[in-house]
Amino acid sequence: MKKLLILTILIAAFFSSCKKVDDAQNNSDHAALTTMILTFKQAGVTKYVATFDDPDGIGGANPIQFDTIKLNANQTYQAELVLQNKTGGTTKDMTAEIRTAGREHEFFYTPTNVSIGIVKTDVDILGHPLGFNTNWQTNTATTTNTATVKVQLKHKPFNKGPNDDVSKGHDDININFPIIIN
Amino acid sequence: MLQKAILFCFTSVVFLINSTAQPCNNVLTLHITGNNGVHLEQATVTVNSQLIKSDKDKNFTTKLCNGNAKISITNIGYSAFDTTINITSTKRINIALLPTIESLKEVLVNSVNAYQNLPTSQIKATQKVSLIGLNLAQALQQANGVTLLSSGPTVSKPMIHGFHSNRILILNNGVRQEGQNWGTEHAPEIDPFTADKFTIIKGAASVKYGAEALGGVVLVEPKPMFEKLGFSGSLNTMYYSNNRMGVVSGLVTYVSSNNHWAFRLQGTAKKAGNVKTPNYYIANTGLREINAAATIAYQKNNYQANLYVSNFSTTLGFYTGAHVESKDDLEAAIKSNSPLFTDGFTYLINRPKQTVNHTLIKLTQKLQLKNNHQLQLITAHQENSRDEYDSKQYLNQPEMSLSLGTTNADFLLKSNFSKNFNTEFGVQYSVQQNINKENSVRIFIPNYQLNSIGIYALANVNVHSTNLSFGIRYDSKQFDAFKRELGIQTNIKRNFNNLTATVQAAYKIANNIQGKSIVATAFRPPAVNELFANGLHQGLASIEVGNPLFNAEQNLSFTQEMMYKPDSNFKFEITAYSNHISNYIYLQPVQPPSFTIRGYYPTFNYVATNAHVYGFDVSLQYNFRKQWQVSSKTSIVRGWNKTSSDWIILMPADRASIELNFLPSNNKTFNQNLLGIEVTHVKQQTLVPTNTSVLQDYAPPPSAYTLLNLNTQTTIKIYKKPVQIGCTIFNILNTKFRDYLNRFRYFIDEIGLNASVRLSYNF
Repeated sequence: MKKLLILTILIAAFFSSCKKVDDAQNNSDHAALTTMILTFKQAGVTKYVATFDDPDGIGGANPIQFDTIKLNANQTYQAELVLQNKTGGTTKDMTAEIRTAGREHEFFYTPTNVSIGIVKTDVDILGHPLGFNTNWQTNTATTTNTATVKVQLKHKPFNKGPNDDVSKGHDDININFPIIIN
Repeated sequence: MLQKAILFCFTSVVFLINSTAQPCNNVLTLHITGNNGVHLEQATVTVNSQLIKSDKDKNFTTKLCNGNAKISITNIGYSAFDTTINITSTKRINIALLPTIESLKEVLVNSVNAYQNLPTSQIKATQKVSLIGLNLAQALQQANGVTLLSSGPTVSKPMIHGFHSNRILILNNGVRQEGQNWGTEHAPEIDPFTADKFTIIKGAASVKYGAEALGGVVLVEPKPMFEKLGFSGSLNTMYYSNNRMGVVSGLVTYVSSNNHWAFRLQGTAKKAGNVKTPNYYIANTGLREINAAATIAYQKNNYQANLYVSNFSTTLGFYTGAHVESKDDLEAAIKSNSPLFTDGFTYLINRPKQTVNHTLIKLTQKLQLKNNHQLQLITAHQENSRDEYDSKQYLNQPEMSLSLGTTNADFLLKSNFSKNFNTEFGVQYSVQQNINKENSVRIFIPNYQLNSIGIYALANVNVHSTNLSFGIRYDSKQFDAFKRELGIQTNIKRNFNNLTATVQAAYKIANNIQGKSIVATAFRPPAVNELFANGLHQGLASIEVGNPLFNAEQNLSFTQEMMYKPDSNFKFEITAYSNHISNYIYLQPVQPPSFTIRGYYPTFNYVATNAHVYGFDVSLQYNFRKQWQVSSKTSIVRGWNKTSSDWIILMPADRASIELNFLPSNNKTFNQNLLGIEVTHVKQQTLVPTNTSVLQDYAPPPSAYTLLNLNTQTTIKIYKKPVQIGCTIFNILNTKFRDYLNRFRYFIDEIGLNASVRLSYNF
């Protein structure tokens, strides 16, 4: 009986908790992308900014901001894309991180029901197209409210090439912005 | 329970008492006992194929000539005993039979008929050599009513009567297995080679085992320690052709000459490459596994102790194409007739993958007190570490990384008041802590601490030939979760208190028919994912949202079992069950889908409903013409959502199998020969949710399929030690099929022809 008791006490020492569950400090989705800002400029002057913003990331609440892109007809814009992560409660820029991992990533811009030419102007470390920076050549004004430009960030860990089409890799970002050309 | 088994093994030592005798006038007296020395005068005893009845002294006596006498003894609830002895004089033999179902309420089995237990199925690893090398769930699938829930070829977990994951409790060596049980793609971290026997309790068994024993319990039990003095052990190796899997497993036991100490070491290594369907290799479906276990046991006088340490470590590849990141990707993968990712054969494992490590340390102590009381104390700690790697890779680290620690202490007092009345009283306490490790990127479930305490009492009474048992239990669980969203930490506390009870009766309906009726309640507090999940579930491109306000599931279950066994050559069993579950938690699709930075995702909310899960298992076994054996199994499960009057998703489809075995007689070289063929048919599941206003499933259930398997085995002697050799061919027709209970059914076919050879050496 004594033996049993002694061992019981020894085992009870086990029970003193060894983990710190009440500190969820590290529990932020630090590689998540929550926010995308597309800035349109002409000669260095900002003409329009379109934002998609879902601070709590995938799941949870719906996006708090999702803009329609509004541009003028027959113009050329220099567009620049910025990515952010807001899940930690603060805004963390993700543009540099993705740009550094550029050889695995590529943006694609797919217009529908709108006449517009979009050309990627930046490249990754291997000289393959990247797509943070683009030139947008607008044409005639839109006549329908179903005009969109789909922005996709494709992740291609092992197989990015110089002339990939949009079907290669999987989506890290897939947003269909409504667009109006006046 | 381990030590109990040891005890009986030892008391089953056969005593031979010689006396003078004449040819054909030797009197053989068999004295047969069961648990606690009770006389088994009802046993079926044959000597040289002649049936012998017991006499007034409860002994079995016959007259024999000089020569070999083949003795065969069977008794319900005990392992069959067969031996051949050389008779040269009058002999008296004491035989203690080994109970087969000592696991559930071992005290309760004592001194009464054994058919009182919950419906159980047992699989003895040593008997069914064809099971060697399978994972735990695959081995359990041999039992009627058990199906596999899988995520591709590398991950599978058992489903009993339509229940899985958190509704099934697995007891490894007497300790509740605590991994991240909630995930359908999280397989039990148990090496089947550590086990000698699997017992499956079908149905609600919360009173004895506590929460989560809502749909069934699986007991994984090792070989008894004190079986043989000195060194003994076994070595198993096998090779599978399909994925070129090699497995090596060894076990060695040493029992000291004074029979007080026993030591055991056990180890298993496993390596497999890509799995091949009839038409292609499935990319990234290799696995690696290394397990080791050590046991030290001590017994002296009325005290027994057993210290057990084990480690299970595995890396599992996941089919690349099943790991989709957006709705568009998912639709493309489902639409594609051929898989989007194929590969040749390789042992390499890339992303997506899981690495899992599970360590268990356990101390069991038993103290036999006077007046037939026994005290038992089990203390254990488990550490489960799980890393999940997505297919995408921002950083060279897992996207989800969890660490789960569980410490528990179980205290038990078993009392045998008389031959017809015994009780069991128990207290179970555990603390569990879950941590998202520092490098974890994706937070699907939060950090939490869970404190549980349960207290129960069971009583067992014999009234005439009927055995009645009653049980009652109270549980209290405190959930303390810590969530961090948008930089703000919140603490959510939930308490779950439950009272459960069970009543069962086992009785004789007619001479050859035994019956058993059980009414039981069971409960299960919502699992951590059901309460707190909020985000993208790895792989399936769907958003799952939990509800922190859920109440515990309550099950009221009725089970009726009948067995007709006119003789040892024929057995017919039927088990019918009905579970009424309130607050049954499941994933319900919602509209509209969630809009995210990656587009629209199908979204599923965990919702609670009232469910009715019912069905039956039928099995039949018939031995004919001495060397032939035919057996069949049929299993039907239905799940009905009472609230929405609709079928419940992901219930096993109806299935049946028939097996024909030819057992050629032993000769000089080959013993225990078997040549078998098995046909399994699984119907298409048509009873799926009919409400089509929302997306219920990504694709309709796969078609019906029929598989043909072959199995041969024999035993030869090498240096006087038996070596079992076996060969199995699974899916010999290389049939192309998909199974409804495989989460990857949208993407890939199941495994094609798989031939395996096995060698098992015992010393």
